[in-house]
Amino acid sequence: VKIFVIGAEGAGKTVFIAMLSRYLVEHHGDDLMLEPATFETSQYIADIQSALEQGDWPPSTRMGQSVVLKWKLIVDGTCDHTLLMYDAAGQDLRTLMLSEALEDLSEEERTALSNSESVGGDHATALRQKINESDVLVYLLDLEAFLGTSDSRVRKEHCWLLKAFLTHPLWRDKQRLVLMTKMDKYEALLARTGNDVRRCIQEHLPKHYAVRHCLNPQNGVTFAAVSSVATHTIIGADETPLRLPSRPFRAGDLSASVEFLRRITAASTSALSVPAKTTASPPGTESAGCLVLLLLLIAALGWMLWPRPISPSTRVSLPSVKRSVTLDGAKQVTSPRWKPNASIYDKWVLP
Amino acid sequence: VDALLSSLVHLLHDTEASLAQDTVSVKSSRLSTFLRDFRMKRITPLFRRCRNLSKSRYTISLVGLTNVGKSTLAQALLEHPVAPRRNSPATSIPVEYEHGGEWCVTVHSSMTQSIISHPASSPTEVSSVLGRYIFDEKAVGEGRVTRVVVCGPMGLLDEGVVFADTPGFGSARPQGCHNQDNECLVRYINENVDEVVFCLGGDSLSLLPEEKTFFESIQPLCSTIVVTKALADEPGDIEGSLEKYKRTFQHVFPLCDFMFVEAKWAIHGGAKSDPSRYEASRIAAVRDFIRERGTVERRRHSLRSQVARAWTDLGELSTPLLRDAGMQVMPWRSDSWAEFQRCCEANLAGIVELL
Repeated sequence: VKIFVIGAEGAGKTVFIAMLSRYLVEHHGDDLMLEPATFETSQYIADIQSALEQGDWPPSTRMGQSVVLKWKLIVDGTCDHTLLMYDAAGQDLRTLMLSEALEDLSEEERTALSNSESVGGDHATALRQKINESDVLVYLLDLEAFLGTSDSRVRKEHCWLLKAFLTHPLWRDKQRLVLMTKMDKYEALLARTGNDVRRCIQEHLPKHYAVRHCLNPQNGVTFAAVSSVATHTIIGADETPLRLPSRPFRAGDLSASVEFLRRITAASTSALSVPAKTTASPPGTESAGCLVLLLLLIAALGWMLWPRPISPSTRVSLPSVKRSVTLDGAKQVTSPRWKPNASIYDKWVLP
Repeated sequence: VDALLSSLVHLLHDTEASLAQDTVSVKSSRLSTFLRDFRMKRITPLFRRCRNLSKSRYTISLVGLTNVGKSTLAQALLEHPVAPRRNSPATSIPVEYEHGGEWCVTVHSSMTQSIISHPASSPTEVSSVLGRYIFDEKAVGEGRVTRVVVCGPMGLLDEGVVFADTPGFGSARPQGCHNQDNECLVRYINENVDEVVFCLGGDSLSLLPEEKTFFESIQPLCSTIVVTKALADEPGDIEGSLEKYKRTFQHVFPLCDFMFVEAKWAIHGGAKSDPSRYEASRIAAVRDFIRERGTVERRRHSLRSQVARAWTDLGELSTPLLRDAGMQVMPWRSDSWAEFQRCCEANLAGIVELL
């Protein structure tokens, strides 16, 4: 399962990725474990956790840097899934997503974002490709982007990021999760909406932007809230209050994302598994069934091979590819990819 | 109370930041500056003090100028003649008093990396052992004595409070500090002390500049000013003169409660079983103050009432500024406000009414 974690800078992508495995260690036993599958993954996570352990935030992911983390999800002692998680710099993702959003904009809307940088180069192409290839997209949203600034341009920009995530035509078929991060900070706000994350986000978006209607419950996106790491407040040298990881360092509340992970992996298992023979047939019925099947097969072949004219209405057009994708020299994978069953998640409501 | 203060600090900071972003209105920026000042001067000290409330070894320290009467006050409070006294500066190193079953003086030395215990049979013996160490300025200067702890059946401290008698400014010379500055004393206070009782001499209506400077360096820890030698034997308007003293110095020691005490009367009154003399000394108020810090719950309660007082003051002080800015209510940032209200409901039923 390929998971791409999207979000603007400071949304908490890196910490979220690093804390997911830690959360499972703290709150689950052998029933659910997330183990690094490569040395690089293990080292990357150890570096981040070491910074958190010292009561500090890890350094931001550098622009141009993208990280692929390979995990093994172990359920009840058996390795069920390989998870690939992608992390990239928030600035890069912001620029990329704004450029995606710009394609479907009216002239007026485009003018509002005329100062946005355009994204280009190999890195952008690779990022775009990775996002398009992913099975699951997780958008991390820090409400600070809307509440903590009166700069309308910054707020608009974050509105467009969210809109791009919710409405992008290539991403509609993917499993999408909007995770409101730093939940400990917004617990009281959430409680006011009866812990309805979607409504909480909707209520705090700028009122005059069209993104509000994209948050309707029918769009198949799951909304949840998490806090990756437990924090405490200190007064900094300039007398400013700062939220820093608590000491001793421990995971926050990531139960919603773990629940989502369980569901997508369970759906993936059921989609990929071959249906097994469930009941034993009585003797004699097996050969009769085979005979019927053989007759049906012959009839179908005869119908298919019988010559007849092709009418124009039966022509099938191939879906147009919006963007050419370079795969760093790799060949296109032709095997059918797992397609998750979206209807399961539409009905999923946070506890 | 910890969560309550955190949320209050964030509420003030977040709101002042959003008001500061309004570059058009001068009045908003004035309101923002007010919130910033209020946060830094009133709430941050409470927040810092709050961190130490749940410590099992909560240390209250007497701090003041040399010869202001700190050791005499310590003796009056502890009701045992444990503090050695002499006419010249009495204490050259902090002495920590804590409750214990038997009398004992423990001397720590970083030079020899050793701890020497001196069991004693009476408070008088404790006093003489203490005298040997704390009057030996050479031993203190060389680092042969770095810390002195006195244990004994002192009723005032039986709930776990530790009482520290510190050297007066100018006479502090712990290890490595051979100069006369007060840097080491400030370091000791900031590292070891949770709350400071600042002592002033009531025999004069003037204040030395170094008293003011020293107070500023430890202000976040200081909640109470104890004025010694302020009560007179002669009949007269005592209350009036105390009130005058308070008015004169209140602006120098903002947010501090003033207590007036005559420690010698308390010692003599106690020794000679003279209840009227003891009562006149007003030592009971200082003892009550220490008792109030006896348990974590009482310390929290005391801090909660200070938060409530600060909140009321904030309402009063901000009213004219809000009126000036054409606002009826403070434009609190919604998320911080919701969080603050939640913490109030969880921690401080009384303050909810104020909201």
